[in-house]
Amino acid sequence: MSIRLEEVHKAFGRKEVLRGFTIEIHEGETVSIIGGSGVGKSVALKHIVGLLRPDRGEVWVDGENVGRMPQQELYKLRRNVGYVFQFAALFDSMTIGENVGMGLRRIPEMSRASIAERVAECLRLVDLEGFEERMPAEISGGQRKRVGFARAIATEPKYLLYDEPTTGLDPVTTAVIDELIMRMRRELGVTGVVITHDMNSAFRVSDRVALLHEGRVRFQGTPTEMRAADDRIVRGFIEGRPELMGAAP
Amino acid sequence: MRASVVAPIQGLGSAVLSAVASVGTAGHLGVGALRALRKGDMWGPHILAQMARIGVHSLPIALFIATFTGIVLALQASYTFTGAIPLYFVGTLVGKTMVLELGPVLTGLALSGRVGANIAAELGTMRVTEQVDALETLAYDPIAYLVVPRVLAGAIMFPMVVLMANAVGIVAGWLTSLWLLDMSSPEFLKGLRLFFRSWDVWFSVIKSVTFGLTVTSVGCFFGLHTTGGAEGVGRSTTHSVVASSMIILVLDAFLAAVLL
Amino acid sequence: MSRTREFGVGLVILSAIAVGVVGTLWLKGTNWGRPSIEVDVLLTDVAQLAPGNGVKFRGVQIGRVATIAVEPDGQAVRVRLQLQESVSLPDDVVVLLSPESFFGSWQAEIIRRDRYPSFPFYEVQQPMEGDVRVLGGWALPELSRLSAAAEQISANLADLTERLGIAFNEETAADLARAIENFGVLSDDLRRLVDQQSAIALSVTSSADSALTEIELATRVARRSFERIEELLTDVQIDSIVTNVRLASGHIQDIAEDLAGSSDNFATTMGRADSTLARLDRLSARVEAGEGTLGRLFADTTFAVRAEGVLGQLDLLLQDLRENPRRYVRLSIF
Repeated sequence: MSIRLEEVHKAFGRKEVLRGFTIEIHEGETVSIIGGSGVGKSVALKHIVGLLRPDRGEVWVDGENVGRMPQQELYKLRRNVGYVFQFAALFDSMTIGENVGMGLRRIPEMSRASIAERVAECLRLVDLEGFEERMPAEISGGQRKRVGFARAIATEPKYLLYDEPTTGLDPVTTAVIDELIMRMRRELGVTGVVITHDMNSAFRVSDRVALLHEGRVRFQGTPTEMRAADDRIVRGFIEGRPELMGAAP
Repeated sequence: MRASVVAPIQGLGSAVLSAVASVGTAGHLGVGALRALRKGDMWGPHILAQMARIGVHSLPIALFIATFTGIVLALQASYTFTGAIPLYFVGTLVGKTMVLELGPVLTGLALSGRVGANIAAELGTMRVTEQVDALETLAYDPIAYLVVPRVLAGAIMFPMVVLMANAVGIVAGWLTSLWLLDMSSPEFLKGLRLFFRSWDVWFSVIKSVTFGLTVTSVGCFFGLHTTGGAEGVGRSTTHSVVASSMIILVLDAFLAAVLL
Repeated sequence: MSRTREFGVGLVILSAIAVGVVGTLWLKGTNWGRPSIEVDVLLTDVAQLAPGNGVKFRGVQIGRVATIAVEPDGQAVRVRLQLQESVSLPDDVVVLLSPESFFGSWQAEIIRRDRYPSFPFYEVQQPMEGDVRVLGGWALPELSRLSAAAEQISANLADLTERLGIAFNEETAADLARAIENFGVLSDDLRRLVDQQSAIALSVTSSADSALTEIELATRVARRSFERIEELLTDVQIDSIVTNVRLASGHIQDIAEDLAGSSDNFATTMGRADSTLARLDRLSARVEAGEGTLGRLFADTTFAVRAEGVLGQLDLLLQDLRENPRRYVRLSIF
């Protein structure tokens, strides 16, 4: 059981975002995809849940070809995949409790009481106990992000996709989120894909790191391997030296 | 070839292609909405809220417009008819114009601003803040969850609003005739009944159903296809109002040609 | 919150449907379940009558036209009237269809047969078909038909003029040609009558007085034209035609002056119209009998027959005009 993207191409109009993107994520591991802003990290992530379909290439999740899957099958698959959005993407018109319970209400065998129970449990997991009746507008950005977390894990997915989980957060909250990501893997055994440009966070939470550059994976390896790499682009990105990246072929 | 020759041709080509593409996307949305009709469990719980929003909350503005339309129709009719045509024709003109044309069209245009823009802005915001994607990842079909209840509510509630607007407009024209034009009720009613056919009311209802479908689905279309943050939401809202107003007027002419 | 929302939506839907249904029925003039009876009318033609038109009895609206259908044998039209049950109709009634106003709708008027003895009401074979009473009816010729009739007369006269031209051109002198020219003028006059008639229909006058003047003017022109024809036909001597035409012109001049000065009342106008018609009748009778030189010329044509039909229609209209002057006065002033 794993996630595999093979030679994925995706263009928006004339802009080619992914140009032969290939990566494999094994069960139980957490992989970070790093890269500058606008290089298509989120685009790659959205292919995994079928929010986007590849122009060319294939996306395999649990041995099924997501790119060719009919819509109904996709909805079934998505119960196994939790998605944590960059700005949480909470539904403004619903309470926190309703937001977290959204995915659960799609499961026919869940009763109202068992949904409420599970919602409380998920909120406890992200340290937001008793927030059920609040509205998204009433809580802070970091709290919203944690609610997004709770919503993603509510259906006990096998995979969790994190889109910029720590961007724009203060160091303390960043640490809390990183801890959450690690806890998910440790306690729930989920497979994780993290999109980030925060190097510290990437090195802290991942088993492997991949650098996305010009639509392809430029480098992948363990955090240790990446730190030791002598590729110009990798060095430039880790050390924050644009002159190295600009000089790349 | 020179760039000055190639550029305009390229421009035309890309304009046509994007036009065809947007028709395709709109058709896709339409087909998706028809398919999503089966998923009653997904749109069912939300339709009431949308009906309240589209129908009940739009009533004040629709009736306000209808009232003044009725008054103006009566006054202008009497101004036009002075001497030449019997005054009871004021009733005929108010009734016919209100039911056949101004009731549905003015309500449609007003609601394309009120309802259509509101839907486009709401769905546009949901799109740019990734709430629509979030719905998808939580296994909700956004078309069934967001589009169907709005479009259905529009198709059901528009005719209701228009029927009320027609009635209010006619009553306003009647009262104007009584108070400002020295007409009597029997006179006004005689004119009102003179050429009345029950088909007129059906025509009004058919028109308003299509306008309801138009305003809501255009709003949904532009909302769901919003890109580019807050500015994009603004753009979608404007486009939605412009497009649905234009479609309403074209449909108006088309329906008059086909059904009358 | 949800409760009030449900209530609001329900209320709007219910009231909109109520407004739509009740409004439609009300505007269509439903009798809201008041007891009603049905009466059938048979006639040869319904003119502009349409379902929903009013049914009047002694000037009071007592019901509506429900349906109109051609009888299976194609010989008559059956109009079903829906009347208030409370009104009981006399025995010898018939139904007259006539314009209610210049615009649009017609009406069915239930009247005693002896009120218009000369109107050709439909002869009903079975006065009762089951429970439904069947009445005979007749639709008044429309104003447009009157215009058509006058136009026909005018065309016939033009035809006559042409025939005269062919017959006499070779044998007569210049003054006869002038006489024929006068026939041309005559035909023009009649055409002007037609135009004036249309003008009456279309023009908008504000008082009954001016309507009468219009009618009178038209009659005067008609009369003048007919008198000329008669003068010409009275004398068989061709030589005297010219003289007679001159005489007639002078005579007409006198009449015109006479009329122009006075403000005649409606009765005298009617009188003149009648005498004009009498003359036209005599004229057509003479033409038919082939009397006189000119008469023989067209005795073989269908002119006389056609003129007879036209005169019959004019007569009926005139009779109606006399009995219901207001209907026609209203026609020109609405």
